[in-house]
Amino acid sequence: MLAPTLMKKILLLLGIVMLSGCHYSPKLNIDNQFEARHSSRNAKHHMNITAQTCPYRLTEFKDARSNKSLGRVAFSVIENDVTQWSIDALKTFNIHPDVNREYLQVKVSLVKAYIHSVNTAMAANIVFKVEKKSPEVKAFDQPQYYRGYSVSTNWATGRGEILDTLNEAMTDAISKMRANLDRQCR
Amino acid sequence: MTKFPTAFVKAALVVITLGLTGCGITPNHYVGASVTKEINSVDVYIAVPQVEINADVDPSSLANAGGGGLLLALIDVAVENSRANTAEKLIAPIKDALVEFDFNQALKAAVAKELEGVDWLNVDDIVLVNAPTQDIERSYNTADAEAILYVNAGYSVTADFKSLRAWAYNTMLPKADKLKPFGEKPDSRVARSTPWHLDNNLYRDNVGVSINVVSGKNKDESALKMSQDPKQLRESMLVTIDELAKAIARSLKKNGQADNINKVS
Repeated sequence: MLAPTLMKKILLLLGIVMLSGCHYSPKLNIDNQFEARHSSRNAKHHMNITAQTCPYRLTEFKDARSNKSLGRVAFSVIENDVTQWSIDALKTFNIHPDVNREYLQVKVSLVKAYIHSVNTAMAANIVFKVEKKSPEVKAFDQPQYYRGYSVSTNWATGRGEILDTLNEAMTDAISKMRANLDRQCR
Repeated sequence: MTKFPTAFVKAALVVITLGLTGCGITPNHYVGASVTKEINSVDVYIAVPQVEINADVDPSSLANAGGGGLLLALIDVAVENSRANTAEKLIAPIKDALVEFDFNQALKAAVAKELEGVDWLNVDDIVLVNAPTQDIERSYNTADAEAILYVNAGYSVTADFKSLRAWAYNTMLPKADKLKPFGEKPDSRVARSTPWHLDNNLYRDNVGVSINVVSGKNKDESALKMSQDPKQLRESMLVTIDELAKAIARSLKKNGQADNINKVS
């Protein structure tokens, strides 16, 4: 049988957890380091793109999100240095601020970047608005949007699993962007 | 084997029930005409915590139906992950169709228009909060009106992808000392120590609206129809927002209709 003191402690803990859950929103800072993660639904497609890309010059990057938060998972408010993370991701896919390309240039705006809970799962979305300069026109085209998303099970609202889900959505978005940009490379 | 004594189990049940009750299963609350007459200015804070439209996903309840158990709970997790994947795939084109649609600004404009029709509500300022949570403490401290109305809103596509849904949780806190005695529980310990605590609420209510947009044989067809006509979708969003703003105004008008109103919905 459980000792009365232990029972009291368990009840107190249970009470605190139940009541504090209503209002407590801890901030969860996650890593800024991008690591390409390919989802099972489009891994093969993504791998080919990463291997074949020609370099593009990133002439401008803008964080154009109206809501600067990365969203919420369970009770945690997710935060990181989104600009650094996004530029890291673009560099991984050969879209680089330091590359000298006269015509293959892009202006990229981050329009949406968030993760949210869906029952016991979590879903991340990344949306970029991209204007590219093509060799024929020598001016920036009409902007196009590229969305990436990812869904995974939320086991413990851990930093690692949240970052993995966001990285997968980022990989998905930039892969779609590169698939279009690569047409200019040929 | 360790057995839990009956008293312990009962006490745990009481704690869980009280905890859940504290989270949100509480009645709405309105104030009477004698209070609304005292309110000379109101600042309104509108927060929409989500970044984009989401799809409703029905939770799996195999574990509940089967009487519990870890195996069924794990099956629930797998089912919910699959449903979330399907929902995210189906809603992506709908999100793309609305990528430049600013729900928050449209809601602010609609609420501003509808609040003009609430006689007793003398709105000073309407502020849009772009954050994942409504920072009540900060807005309470910066507001200079006699009372502060908080509107926490959200919106989604229903799980069958046929309708748009929007909702708001509204609360009003007193800032002026003369209004503080009219809160729900102004004498509670937390109400006295924390002016923005919900025990001080003058008014509290949930409102929600749902607008049918398309009809399809299944959710795939409905989602496709919804995303194929972006103009129609944006118009439906505006209708949903207008209906939500009207519902918010209707709820506010219940204040001041009589004295000492305190209803359970």
